[in-house]
Amino acid sequence: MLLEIKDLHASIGDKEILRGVNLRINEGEVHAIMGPNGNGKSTLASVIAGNEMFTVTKGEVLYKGKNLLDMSIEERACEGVFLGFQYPVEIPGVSIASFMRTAINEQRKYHGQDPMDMLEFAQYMEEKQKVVELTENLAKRSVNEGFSGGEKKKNEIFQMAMLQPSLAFLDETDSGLDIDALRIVAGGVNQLRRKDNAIVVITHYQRLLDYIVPDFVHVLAGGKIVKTGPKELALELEEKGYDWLKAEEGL
Amino acid sequence: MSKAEEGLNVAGSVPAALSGVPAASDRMIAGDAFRCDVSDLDTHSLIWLNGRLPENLAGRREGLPWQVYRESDHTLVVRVEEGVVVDKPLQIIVLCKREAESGNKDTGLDLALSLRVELGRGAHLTVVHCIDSDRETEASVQGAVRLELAPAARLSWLSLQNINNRCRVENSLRADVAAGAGLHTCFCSLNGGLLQNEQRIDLNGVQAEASALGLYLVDGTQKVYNKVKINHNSPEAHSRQLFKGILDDSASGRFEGHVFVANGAQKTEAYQTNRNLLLTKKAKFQTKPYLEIYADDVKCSHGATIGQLDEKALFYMRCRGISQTTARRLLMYAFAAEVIREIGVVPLEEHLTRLVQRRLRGELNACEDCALHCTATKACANLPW
Amino acid sequence: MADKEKTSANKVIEDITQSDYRWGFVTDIETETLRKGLDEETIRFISAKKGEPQWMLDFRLKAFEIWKKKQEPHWAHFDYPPIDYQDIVYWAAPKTAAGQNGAADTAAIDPELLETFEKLGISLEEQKVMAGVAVDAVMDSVSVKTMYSDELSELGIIFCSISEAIRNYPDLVRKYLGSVVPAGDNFFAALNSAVFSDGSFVYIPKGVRCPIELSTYFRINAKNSGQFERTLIVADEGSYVSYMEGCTAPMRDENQLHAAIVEIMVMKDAEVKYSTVQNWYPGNKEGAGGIYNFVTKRGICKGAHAKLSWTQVETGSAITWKYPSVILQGDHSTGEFYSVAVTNNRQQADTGTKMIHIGKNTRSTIISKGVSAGQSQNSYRGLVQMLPAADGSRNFSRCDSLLMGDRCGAHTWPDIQCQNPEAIVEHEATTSKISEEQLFYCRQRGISAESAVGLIINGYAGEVLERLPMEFAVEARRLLSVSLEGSVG
Repeated sequence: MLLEIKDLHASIGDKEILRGVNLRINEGEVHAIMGPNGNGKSTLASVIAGNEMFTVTKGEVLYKGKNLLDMSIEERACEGVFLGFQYPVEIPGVSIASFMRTAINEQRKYHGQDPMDMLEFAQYMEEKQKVVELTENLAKRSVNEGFSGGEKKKNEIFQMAMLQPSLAFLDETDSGLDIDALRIVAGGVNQLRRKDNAIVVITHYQRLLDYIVPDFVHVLAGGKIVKTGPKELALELEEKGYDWLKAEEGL
Repeated sequence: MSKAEEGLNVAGSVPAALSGVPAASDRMIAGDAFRCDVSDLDTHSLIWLNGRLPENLAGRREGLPWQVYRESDHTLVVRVEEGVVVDKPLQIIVLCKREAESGNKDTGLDLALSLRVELGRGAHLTVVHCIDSDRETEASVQGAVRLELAPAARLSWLSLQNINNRCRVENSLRADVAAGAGLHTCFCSLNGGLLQNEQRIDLNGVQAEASALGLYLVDGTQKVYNKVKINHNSPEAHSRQLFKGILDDSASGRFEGHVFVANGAQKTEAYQTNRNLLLTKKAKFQTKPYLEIYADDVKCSHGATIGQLDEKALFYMRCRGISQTTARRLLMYAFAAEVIREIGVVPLEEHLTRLVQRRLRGELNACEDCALHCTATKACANLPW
Repeated sequence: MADKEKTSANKVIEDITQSDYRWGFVTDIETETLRKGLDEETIRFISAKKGEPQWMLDFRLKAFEIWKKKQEPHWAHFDYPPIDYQDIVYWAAPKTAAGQNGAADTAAIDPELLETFEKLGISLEEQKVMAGVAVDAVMDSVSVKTMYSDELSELGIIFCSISEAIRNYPDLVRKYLGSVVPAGDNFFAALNSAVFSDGSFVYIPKGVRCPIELSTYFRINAKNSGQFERTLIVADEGSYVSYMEGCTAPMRDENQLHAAIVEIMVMKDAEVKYSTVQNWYPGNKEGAGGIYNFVTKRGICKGAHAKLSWTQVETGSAITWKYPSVILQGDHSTGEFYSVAVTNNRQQADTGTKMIHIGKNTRSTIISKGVSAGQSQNSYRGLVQMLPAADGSRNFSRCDSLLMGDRCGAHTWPDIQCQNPEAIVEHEATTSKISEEQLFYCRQRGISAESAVGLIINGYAGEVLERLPMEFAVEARRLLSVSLEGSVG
């Protein structure tokens, strides 16, 4: 078991957003989390990554058998937890290349490895840029500064390729993408699917799942996972919306 | 005595609006002597002639949304009680005018006027403060204004300065703004030998807001000086300063803006902008936009420019067949309009728009000395007001 | 939630801004020091010590008369106890500094001194020095050694200590000394003009492009002494030089005064780049000790198409009072000011520039990046003036401030004066902090909070840092992170 979430409750300020999430993820699996907006999908991803804006009030998260909630943000990252941000922040003046080099070397340091030398890094980066067709020009620019929606999302997947996480939460990676960018981004994610990692795709729409085919589909509503099913569930949701589920759950 | 002057004398002794006479007849009494009189603007008005307050301003009057009284010969107090929302603006006209009997023409006027406005919790008020003069009176007007806003009160303070070039105005405004209250000030300096507006606004409670606007159009040897300090003494307050001006001939001006954010005033947002157009070689401008910040979780910025009209825009317009003169005028108007359209009182915005457009066309400038005292001259004989 | 957010950010800030000053050691070397105090005798002593001609002594004495009539300026955003100018040593020299004139021969220099500069990362042995850099090393009141002087003189370039220049090139020095910063310019300029001890002199002849970076390294070592160095750079028509300046001082509990003058003449078509990494001892965390740094730096673009560019990285000093300026006299001349000023703990910096546009079509650019942490105060102060003849001139200024922690201050005091309708002046400034979102984003990628702050600050200051000569840039980037150690936000 890679990740086990048990009865997770989390709040922002006085407002409880997650109200008992249970979820189990094994290596090699792709999960999709769907659900109406404002029901806790992004919060779940943020809490897993350790965003301090949220307070965990109850529950447990085991990651590779360890208590994830005890770890700092960067420890989680070094242990292989990756969050593809819905709204990646701009960091003016810091190039993607130096950002990634810092990240990779800090992660290597965490694992007791030597830093990657410049040449090796340059080659590695060049190779990973191909995953999402990230242009050389973009790699020289400051992190997310002045990027279009599509460029930001490509940059997130590129970073995932660089860091090779064991568990990736991709938060609304499809939002704001045109069809070409969607294909590139989804294609990138598919290249990164491995037997020893797991990917959790958070999305509002079924169309992304045409490209990234999940093993499981979960519906997160009212701060809980209210339904889990095979990939066909996504189609059903697309057709019928979420209201029937809410009715079923009495939400 | 002209009709206008008759009106004046009457107005000087009986503040029509304040004694409960409907505003329409109030304006009739005031007559068209006042260039500050905005024809489409329905106000309660009060005339402060040559420093004399109407004598019968004593105590509270029933049926009026405020109390207005004189505290001393030179001090006027306006108070709006808690929760009272005054729809109609209060227009206070400070008029410097030669009076035949007093013979003040030779000596000049030296006026020190003091005004206090107090708004109770949740009260709303708009004050249109006009400083006006006739063509020849020499006057020095020192206006001290004190504004006190209780929590959630709203006050718009709109000041129009339109005096002859022998007059100087030194306004000093102090405002205390409590939590959730909002103060909006706008100083429009249209004409005058020396126009100096200094304001200090203290934001003393959370979510207090202030916006300080200014527009100045000066020419000849006029001088205009705006100084604004906004103190963020409390967290979560917002402020904005926007001052724009056009300087022609040998006019000179200065802007000193200051945003102060006290230690602990987190979540402050403060923005400050000053833009100036210099039209001639002899015009001068100095700007000092200051930020003084002792809290880290703030969003503060300022921008200041001194320059000319955008050459690209001029070129573009001329390519569309617009003459250079017209294109320049349109751009200058657009420049000024950014301030005008934020005044928030539509008839006044329209009035100022007309004034500024005429001024930019050179029509008002054509009247000697003064932008607005032009009813007597040919060019402006058919003005709508 | 807001509280929690604040706590976490502040904690990181506090962790990062606590660091030690690595250059704070004292060299135990025999030093000749004059008694404390400033009077005519002091000045005569200094002048005699340096074997100066009469005109130089007269220059000093005249400056001293001016100084006595002037008041210490207090318009800057500072709070410090009064300085007792009679409690300062105005002359201190390592006894074995091989003559007081910048020795040519390394063998003559006390090994202690060599080791001191070695420890500071400045090798005085030419073969070991950074490639392509010639250094003038100044300790306390004297120049210890100037490198590559001979090689440079083949090109007609003069690079030596100012004391040597006064003796060997009196005509040049006499012509230009005090021509850009007259003794009466301000209180500290008068003081420096009266008592300046050493510094560098550079002359680049017509049409010569100086092939290497010239550099002066200033070191205060002696106790109770002030340092008053004087630098004069003359770039003749069509010449080019890039000059760098670095400085450090020991950690001491008392404050030490540093009042320098840098004057630069840039002739027609010439270009001077002046870079500073200022790292004087900033005092301890409680604000005890540290250098009071009152510096007047000014250059003039004398001829058409001249260009002067100031780049500074200010991380040290308890007090920094410094406004490297450009007088744009020649038509089409260009002035630039790129600055990063970092203050931490109790440091106070009031720094910026003056751009005086006199000639037609002159250009100036001001980019200032302030970072305040701890309980420090950091001000940008600048003057941009467009005089009536400056047709078609332009200035663009951007002054950003970054606050780290809720006990520091960041201020912007610009003054813009325009008297020309064909000139354009634009100024903008922002104040912000490192956002929680930026920190979270970096940490989610595995970057520790401390590294993340270093990364973000370096990115923020990148526009300025990239202007530094390569040899300096690496050091400056490291210094930025170190200066903020103990203070993530």
